[in-house]
Amino acid sequence: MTQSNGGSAAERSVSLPGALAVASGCGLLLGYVKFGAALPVWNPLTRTVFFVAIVFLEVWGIGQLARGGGARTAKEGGRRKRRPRIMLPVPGMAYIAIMVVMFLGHVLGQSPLLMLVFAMMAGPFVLNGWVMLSMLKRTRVERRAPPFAMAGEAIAVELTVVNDKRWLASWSMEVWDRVVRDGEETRAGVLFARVPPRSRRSEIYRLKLMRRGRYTFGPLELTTRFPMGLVERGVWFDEPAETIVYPRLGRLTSRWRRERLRAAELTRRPQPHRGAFDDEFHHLREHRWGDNPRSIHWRTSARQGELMVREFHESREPDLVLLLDLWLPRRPSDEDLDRVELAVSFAATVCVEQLRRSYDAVLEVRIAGREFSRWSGRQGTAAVESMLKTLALSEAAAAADVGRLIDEATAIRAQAVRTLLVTTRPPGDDAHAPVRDAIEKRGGRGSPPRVIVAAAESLDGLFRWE
Amino acid sequence: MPGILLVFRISVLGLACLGSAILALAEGSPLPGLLTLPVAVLAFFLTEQTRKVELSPIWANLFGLAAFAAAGLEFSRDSLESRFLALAHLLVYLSWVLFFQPKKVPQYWWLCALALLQVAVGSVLTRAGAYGLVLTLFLFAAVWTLAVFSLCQAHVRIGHLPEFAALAANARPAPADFFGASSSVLGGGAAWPSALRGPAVAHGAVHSGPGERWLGLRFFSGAVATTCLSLVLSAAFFLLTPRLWTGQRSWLDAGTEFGGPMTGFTDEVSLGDIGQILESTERVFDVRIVRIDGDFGTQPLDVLDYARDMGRGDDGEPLFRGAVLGKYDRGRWTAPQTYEGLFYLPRIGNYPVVRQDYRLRRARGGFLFTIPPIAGCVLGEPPEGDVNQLRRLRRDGLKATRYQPETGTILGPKSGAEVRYSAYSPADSRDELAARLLSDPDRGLSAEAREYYLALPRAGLERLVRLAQDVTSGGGGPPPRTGDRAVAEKLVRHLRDEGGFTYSLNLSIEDSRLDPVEDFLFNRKSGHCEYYASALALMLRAVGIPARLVSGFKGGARNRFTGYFEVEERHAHAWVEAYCDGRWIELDATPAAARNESVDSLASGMQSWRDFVGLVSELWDRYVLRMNYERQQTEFFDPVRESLSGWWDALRDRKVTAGSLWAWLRNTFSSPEKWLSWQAWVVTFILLFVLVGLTKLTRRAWSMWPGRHGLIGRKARGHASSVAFYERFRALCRAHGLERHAAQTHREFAGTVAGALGEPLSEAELLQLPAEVVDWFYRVRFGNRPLDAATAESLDRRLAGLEAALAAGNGKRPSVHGRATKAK
Repeated sequence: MTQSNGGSAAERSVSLPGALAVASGCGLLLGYVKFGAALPVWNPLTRTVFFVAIVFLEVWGIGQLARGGGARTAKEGGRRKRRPRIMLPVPGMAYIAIMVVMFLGHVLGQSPLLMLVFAMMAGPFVLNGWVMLSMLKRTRVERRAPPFAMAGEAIAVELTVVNDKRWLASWSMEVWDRVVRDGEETRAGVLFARVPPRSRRSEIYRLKLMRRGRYTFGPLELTTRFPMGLVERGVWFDEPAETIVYPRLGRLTSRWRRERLRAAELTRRPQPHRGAFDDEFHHLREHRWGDNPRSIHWRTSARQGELMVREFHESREPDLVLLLDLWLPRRPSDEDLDRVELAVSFAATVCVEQLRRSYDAVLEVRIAGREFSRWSGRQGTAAVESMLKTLALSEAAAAADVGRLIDEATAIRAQAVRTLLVTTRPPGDDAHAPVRDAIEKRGGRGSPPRVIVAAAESLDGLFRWE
Repeated sequence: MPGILLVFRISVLGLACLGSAILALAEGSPLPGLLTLPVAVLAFFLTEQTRKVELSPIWANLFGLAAFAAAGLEFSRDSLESRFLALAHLLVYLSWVLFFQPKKVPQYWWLCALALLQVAVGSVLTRAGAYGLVLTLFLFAAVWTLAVFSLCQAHVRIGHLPEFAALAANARPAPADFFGASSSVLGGGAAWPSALRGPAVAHGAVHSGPGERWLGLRFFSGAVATTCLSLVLSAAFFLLTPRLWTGQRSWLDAGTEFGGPMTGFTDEVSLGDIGQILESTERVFDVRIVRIDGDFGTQPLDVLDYARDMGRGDDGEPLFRGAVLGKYDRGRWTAPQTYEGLFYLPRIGNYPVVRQDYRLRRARGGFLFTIPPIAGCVLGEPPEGDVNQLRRLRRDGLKATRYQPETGTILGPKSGAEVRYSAYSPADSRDELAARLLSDPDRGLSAEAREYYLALPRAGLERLVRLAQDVTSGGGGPPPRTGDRAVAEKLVRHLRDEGGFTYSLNLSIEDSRLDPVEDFLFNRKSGHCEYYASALALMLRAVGIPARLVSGFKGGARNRFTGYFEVEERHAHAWVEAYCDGRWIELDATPAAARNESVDSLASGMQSWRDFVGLVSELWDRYVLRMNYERQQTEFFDPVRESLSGWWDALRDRKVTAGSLWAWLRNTFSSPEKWLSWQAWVVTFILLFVLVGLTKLTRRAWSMWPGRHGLIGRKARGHASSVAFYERFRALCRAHGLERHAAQTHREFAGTVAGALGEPLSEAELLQLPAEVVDWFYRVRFGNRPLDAATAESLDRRLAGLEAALAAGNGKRPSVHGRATKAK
């Protein structure tokens, strides 16, 4: 479901036409007082028309100023701003130029047929504007965009044009949507052939959002050049929405899984008793000094003639602490940016793998970047989405605090089994020194985290794109 | 979808062809304008459809240069007309070059612009009413083409289909790989794929409803309706745009340069010239005659009745006198000397007169056709209501600048688009003015003039002279010297009835060595009016009667729509004026029945159709060609201004009461003749405007009326104060983009709110608030259980908390399961 952050109050702007109308009205009044009153053109009729015009200008202008930007509001679906706009494309300019030439030819040459051609051009031009205005009246646009998406995967955004007019259909309506992220703007358009009166038409456009993060939509623009294509008239609809783009997921290779199992073996301690997690029976062995007498399997002991004890093995996935060090130089190159994205994608893939495979193991994620973020959760689709969102919104920075990452990991490690540090700092670089320093400084407390540098060469063999 | 593209291409080419055809029509020459059609057909198949021939930019430029060179050759000729036509032809040539270029959107715009320019150029080459008709056709074609073009451009902008994307001026990469396999762009390794580096990629879409056709009947009807409305608006523009001319009537005003005097109506006419126009049905002039009573009143007269009264239409066909020719030599008649200067014509005095108002479509060698006798003639629009002009004529007489004293003919401009003039003549043939004008007793015929009108070529007409003498003397001896009129009548009878002559438009000459008149008299014995008149005039001279040939028009028909008497070229006629018994009398030797039969056989279509064409032509002339600021003021601006002033004055005087207004309305609407007046239109418009305004106001007031939902509404109003907390809750939600859908229950809405605002609600420990609010709303609204003070206060406090939480966490999204936190 698309969620709107529509709580943002629309910014109020000064209406230029309103200001012009007020100024014109004042100017006319001043002109009349200063110069015009003595002109011979005044009679009661012209004077009344003159003052009615002034009053109209003032009232209309003040009304526009009070509204702010001259926008109208539509009640449907919340308070949305509606801002009209008009544009004259090159053919329209040429058309007007030809019209002007015709008129001048008529004025200079007294040719009645040139005047006729001028009128035959002016009539359709005015009608064209009126038709466009009428078609856009009482018409609005709605958008349904998915709240989440995966980087690089196509998503469908549904646009709906609603025509609330009673009689007039809206022809050739173009709806243009804008998707913005970090100043990068992408436009997508949908053309509606005809929206009959009192009806709505929906259509989807496809969108590939390449980079993780928050993409904002809007405003929506409903435009038309129909019927003559000489003028473009449109309406802006402030219809904000956003889609969070998750980092793209890859595939962990079999080598990664083998290494993970080996690491798990190192951290596992077979227990001669049932653990708190109803672990599986592992095997029988001879009794050693200190074994719990309750673990002695008497039947086997009798059969073997010596004391045998049962030993249990934890079957659950170990908890994972994933530390993501999103470091980025102050002047990042494309490679640096790629490394960040690779780190986030790799971390996301590992986390998803962890959350999918484990039943009740805890995943702790700590991210050091522009901000320090924490996430913890257990298995489940909702948890996956939440975790991906956290990763999607994390941003790299030069001031990423890797020391704090290690500290946090140390604090958690009492319960954790594995700790993984994914860093964007290239090995052998000065930037990598803080990682080494932090690990060495806190090395006395537990086993050191496994450090994975987010680089193609480091991850090659462990991680692949799907 | 490519169907639109096909229709569009055909439409653009069709528009270009129509533009060229209009230019050809205006130019009056089929070349090169009409060649555009075959060129366009060729281009459609070779370039648009099969793409076998596509001019590269180099070739297009070369052909463009050739077009300029061809136009330059035409331009280098002397006449202004050919220079102007050279520019017009250049537009045609450039269109041809564009036809064969590979076209994108700008090239199609160019084609449309060139078609429009050709139409505009055509407007200065013609004044024909047919131009208005084809202009209307062009308007429809342009509206249709631009509408289809607009659809195509919308497709191009959306870029949904490659066929349309190819039309884009700046071709974008085709979005073919949009749905391509991701793995192919991601690669197999761990390196960050470059494909994921760029900005977002969008793929537009086009929506067309099921069963909806883009270019169906509905679209066509829309184009027709747009054209009709455009015509109405264009008419308003044309009629109401003030004619504020700064220059003088220029050479661009067609007809001045491009139309010459009509054959048969010049100072020199070869025998048979009139025959060339006898087969044409082109209108020559319209005339109406009004009797002027005193200085003010005018009363329309029937042209036929007046001509009959003046003795110029005894056989039911009025005679309009034009050129008078006096000198004959080997088949060529020449007019007497025309003098230029100031000539004072006889004064009308206080005699009753009629005014003949003529609209000559094109100047005919300067001759002004009238029904004589003429006492005065004024060039220009009929002086309706201009009392002073008539008074001047009565007092001073006419001052003519071009005049033939021998024939009493006043001449107008030699060439020009259209000549309007009014001729004054006696109201009654029996009054003194008529007698004075017809007999001209003061002057008589001078010896010089007598010699001039008796002159015969020295040789070549011997047989004619003998024949004339034989006819008049009854077979032998010299003709009698008295009773000139009787002699003349004998000659007329001979030619018309007894000589075995027949009427024919066949101009073949049997013996070219003979004088054409002798060839007519003795070999062919058939010909048209010019031969009859020439033979009669020369035979009259042969027997000593001064005679001259007069060419003009005989006959015509009254247009029942316009009231004007219309004369066409087929009514051209020649007759003779002979000086008999001290005055010039008219003699016509042409067999009337045969001539009338010939003239009638040339009539085009039914009379009613001709009348209709005449009406259209009248409107075209009145409201298009001759529209000027004075007419605009008279017919549009002044009536409106006067009415407004009148209403304003009436309002100021407070004389308008409801009763008088009602009486005026009743008077207007009960008289069908007033329905088509502009006042009725204005009143209807105002009434409709007021009605629509009242309807809208009523609807607005009704929608704002709180109890508009009847019983339920009143009930709700009763509980309005009780459910204020719910309205507050809804307002809060609405401010954050959440509104209850019509299909949702309030409880479902509460669930939606809790889901959408989960995070701020849970942070403020108000997750259950929406459900609680709805529960209380149900109790109050439907359970008729008002809130107690403690609950109301509690809800109020918690809603305030919700408001604060939403304001603080504006934009936050609810977490689902995992919990994300951020720390500095």
